[in-house]
Amino acid sequence: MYSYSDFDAGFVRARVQQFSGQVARRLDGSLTEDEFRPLRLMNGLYLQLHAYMLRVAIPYGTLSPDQMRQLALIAETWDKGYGHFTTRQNIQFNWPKLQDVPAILAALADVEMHAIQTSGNCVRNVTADHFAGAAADEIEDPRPYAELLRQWSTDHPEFQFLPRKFKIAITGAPNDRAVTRAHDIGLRMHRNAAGEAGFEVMVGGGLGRTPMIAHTTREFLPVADLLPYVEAVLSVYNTLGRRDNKYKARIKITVHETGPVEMTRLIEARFAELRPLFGGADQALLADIRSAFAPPAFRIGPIDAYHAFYTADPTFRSWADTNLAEHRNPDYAILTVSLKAHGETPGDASAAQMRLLADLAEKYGHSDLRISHEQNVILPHVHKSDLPTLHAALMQARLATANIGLISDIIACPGMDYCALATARSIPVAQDIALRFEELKLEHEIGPLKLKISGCINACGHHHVGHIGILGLDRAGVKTTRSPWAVMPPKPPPLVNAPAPVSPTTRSCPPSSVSCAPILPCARPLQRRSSMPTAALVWHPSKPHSIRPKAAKMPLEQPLAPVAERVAELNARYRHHGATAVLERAMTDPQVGRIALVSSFGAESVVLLHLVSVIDRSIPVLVIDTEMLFAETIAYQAEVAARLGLTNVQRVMARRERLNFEDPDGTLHQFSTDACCALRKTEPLEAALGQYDAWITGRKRYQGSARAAVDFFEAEGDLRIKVNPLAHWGREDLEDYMVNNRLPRHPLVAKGYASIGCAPCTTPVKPGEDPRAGRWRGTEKVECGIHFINGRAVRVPKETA
Amino acid sequence: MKAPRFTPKVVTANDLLLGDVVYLTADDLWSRQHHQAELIEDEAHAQMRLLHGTAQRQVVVGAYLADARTGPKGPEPVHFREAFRTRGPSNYNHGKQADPSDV
Amino acid sequence: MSVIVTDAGFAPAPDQIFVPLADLANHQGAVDLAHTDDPEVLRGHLGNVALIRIAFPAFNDGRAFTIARRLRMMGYTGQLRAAGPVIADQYAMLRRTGFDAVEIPDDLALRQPAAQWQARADWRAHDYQSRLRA
Repeated sequence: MYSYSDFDAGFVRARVQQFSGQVARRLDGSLTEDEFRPLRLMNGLYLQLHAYMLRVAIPYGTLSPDQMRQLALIAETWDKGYGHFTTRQNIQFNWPKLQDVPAILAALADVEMHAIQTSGNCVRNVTADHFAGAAADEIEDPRPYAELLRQWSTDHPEFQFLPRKFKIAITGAPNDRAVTRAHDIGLRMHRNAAGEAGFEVMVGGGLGRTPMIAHTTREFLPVADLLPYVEAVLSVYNTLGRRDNKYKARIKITVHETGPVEMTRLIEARFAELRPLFGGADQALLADIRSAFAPPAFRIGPIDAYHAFYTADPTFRSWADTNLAEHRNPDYAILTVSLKAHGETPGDASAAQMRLLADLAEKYGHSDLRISHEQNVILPHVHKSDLPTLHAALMQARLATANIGLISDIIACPGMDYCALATARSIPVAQDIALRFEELKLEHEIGPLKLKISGCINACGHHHVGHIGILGLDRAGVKTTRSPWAVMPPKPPPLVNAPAPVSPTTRSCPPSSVSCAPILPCARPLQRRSSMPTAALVWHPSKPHSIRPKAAKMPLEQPLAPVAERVAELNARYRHHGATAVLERAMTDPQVGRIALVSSFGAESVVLLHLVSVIDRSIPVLVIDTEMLFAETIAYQAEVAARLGLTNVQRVMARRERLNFEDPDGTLHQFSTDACCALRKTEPLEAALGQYDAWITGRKRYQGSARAAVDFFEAEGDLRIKVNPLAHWGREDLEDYMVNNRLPRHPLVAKGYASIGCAPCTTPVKPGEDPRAGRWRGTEKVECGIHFINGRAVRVPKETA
Repeated sequence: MKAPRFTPKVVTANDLLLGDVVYLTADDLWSRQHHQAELIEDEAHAQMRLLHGTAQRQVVVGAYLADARTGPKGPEPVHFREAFRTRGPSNYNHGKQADPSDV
Repeated sequence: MSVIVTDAGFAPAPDQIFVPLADLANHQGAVDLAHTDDPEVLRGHLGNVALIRIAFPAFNDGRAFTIARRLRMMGYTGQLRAAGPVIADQYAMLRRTGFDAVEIPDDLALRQPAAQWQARADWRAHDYQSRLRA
């Protein structure tokens, strides 16, 4: 394997010195925390839930026994005796102290390791096929290219402050074991018609909030063009990538918004400028690196012992069946050591286990260890005759679990046990599932099945690319120690299929055998659609309405006066009138124009719906369906519409394409309730109201302090009048009205909900609380944002709302 | 314009050197124990205390207000995330839970 | 007021008239670029511009690094100056991407004195890029 040159060693030492200085300057005030944060991040140091966390790179997943032993030493000396192998070929230490970190980095440098660029908005640790150099289907070992990329990206002066992090994965085999299409840049080696090896370059893939499959920008890139081409991609991204919204800052969004064709054109143009700058030094270096990755001297010897054990020992056989993969040398096997013992933390290894693995690799594995993105340790070159001895040694250390590729071989992120970003715990879920299937003794019968768990939308557990993906969510800070969980459908289609390789032609297609029914994190839309009594709700295509047929069919005889003038006049005239008079006027006056009622069918909506239905049952009633509503709300809409005989109920929804892009898995509300309201309520409503001159709302003065100044008539810029007939009604008035008219109540009212919005952002309120206190609880948010200034829906700052 | 109703809060952060979870007490110290935190019932006072916490840049990192409520020993966390922060991870007996005096 | 940082240390910023890109026609040798400007516009003018100053609105907005690299790729040989609240730790990156000097606000110069910048005046050392691009 690659050994540091003097240059590498000098660089890493200098870097440790720099970081020591940065820590000292943070402590003496030269650097603010805002300035220090990106510096510590680009040296792998995070501040997590309970402590700092140091993420150490394991470039292309390759470790020597000495390096593994040093990781064990670090775990014991400065941490709590264990390390966590991640889904990106890193190891994380969960308990370092800030002042110890320079010493840890120095200890890493002693064994040619570092934590550089394992975080921050820079090019991250380059990952590679964990079977590299051993797999039977490989064209070329991808690790020399990964090492070249490591050197190129390390401290690259232009790309340390990118719009967002940048991940590169590389595979030297046509079968993708490195999830290349879910990376910012994926590199897949293949041969062209002339038989030369080169790369298919894929740009703009990724998981996270907006999972996307990468686009191929170059079908065949000669290996000598690798660095200038990758640099061209980064250079274009650094210029075009969005910096206004961190959730839209990854290159996948840049490709999506720029378009793959234009993006390809820009990359190729930049490549043409950059190519001449690489005069061959990189290729000379590559040749040196390549020689360091020469295959080991494979042993020739009988493998009878292996066959004998395989036949005689069912435990060994079961382990061999799941944990071994085909090696290019038929006398050898690739051994995957499971770090997924049932009930243990996926990906964790104790210092003792690390040392044992180092010893075994030295003795039986040509001193080569790998870390897979599936959080296991691999001995890539094991002579089959050594497997029985190896198995026995691994059993002693609880490292012989026979579950690779099975349901208990779970990928799980650290979740809210450690991670500051997580919204739920994932480790206990993984532990419970693994123990349950161990108890059932079913997993070998079920066969290969990839289960992946992420504790938040950032998808470190790769939950989009498994047969079953589990995403942990926090629904509006539910006061419970049990985190609610939602099973996500795997989308986009699974990309990898190791250890059972996918053929090149189907590489981006989902495995046909497994699918799972989606249970979306909101309002159970599937059940809801099928159980909805559709007869009661008549959905019309949106059409303007006025109860005066004349006004509906032809333009008004005279142009309307400016909105502000009419509003002032209407308010003056109706100051002392009641809701019914206001409504009648609003629904008949040509000076009001085309009008619709907007209703949430919430806790008190039935009052206004009833008042309106008495005047005209055919008025358009716009219902905003955020697709996040309570099932009870949907049922209640149908019931009320039927009871009141409303004949023109129209459902207003966000466009499917917008939802797919902005909130593909329905969790936007966790990150920005404002953005979620804008997407699902404000924008669709603004579009629907475009054809009306006025709309009726149920806003009341007593609701929320932000609404204390609500008038009967309000101007929305110069486009539209907002009519609030219930502005002056109090809580008791509404109660009385509902009782006196025997109106059906929203079923959730009985459960303590006083104001009902979308399921994730609504909780019950306690007696005496402001009725809207249950909306967006725990946030500063008080209004849904359906407010218009100058005719445009805008978010009204709290101070002015 | 105020939020609908102010709910009681504590000021919490992480210790700059150790990374440990800490809480601001009424006498301006940082305690490792949630129940020793100052329970803040008034919104204006909460903002003052948060400013006070944030200003101690050489002592703590990332101060913020977390919901809390009165308990038998003192303030208790409301959200499960904050409850986790008072203890430690679920998979090992590490963090505050390892030292009973800190829970 | 602001301070100019070079390999030699701190110096006061001299008076000079910069024109924004939009006013390129009236330049007197010095041009200001925003971090969002396309340096391509300057192609054809590079020979008679002696100083280009590129804005960093914040130290963690890295667009100006690419602008500097592109100007140098286009053959610009005049002075290139970064202007804004960049931090001493970025000095080597700035020099390596083609900047000659950095113009920082006085308060930053006070908090991060010349010694902290000169600690990275060794920017030619330990530079992977110079090994890969020959």
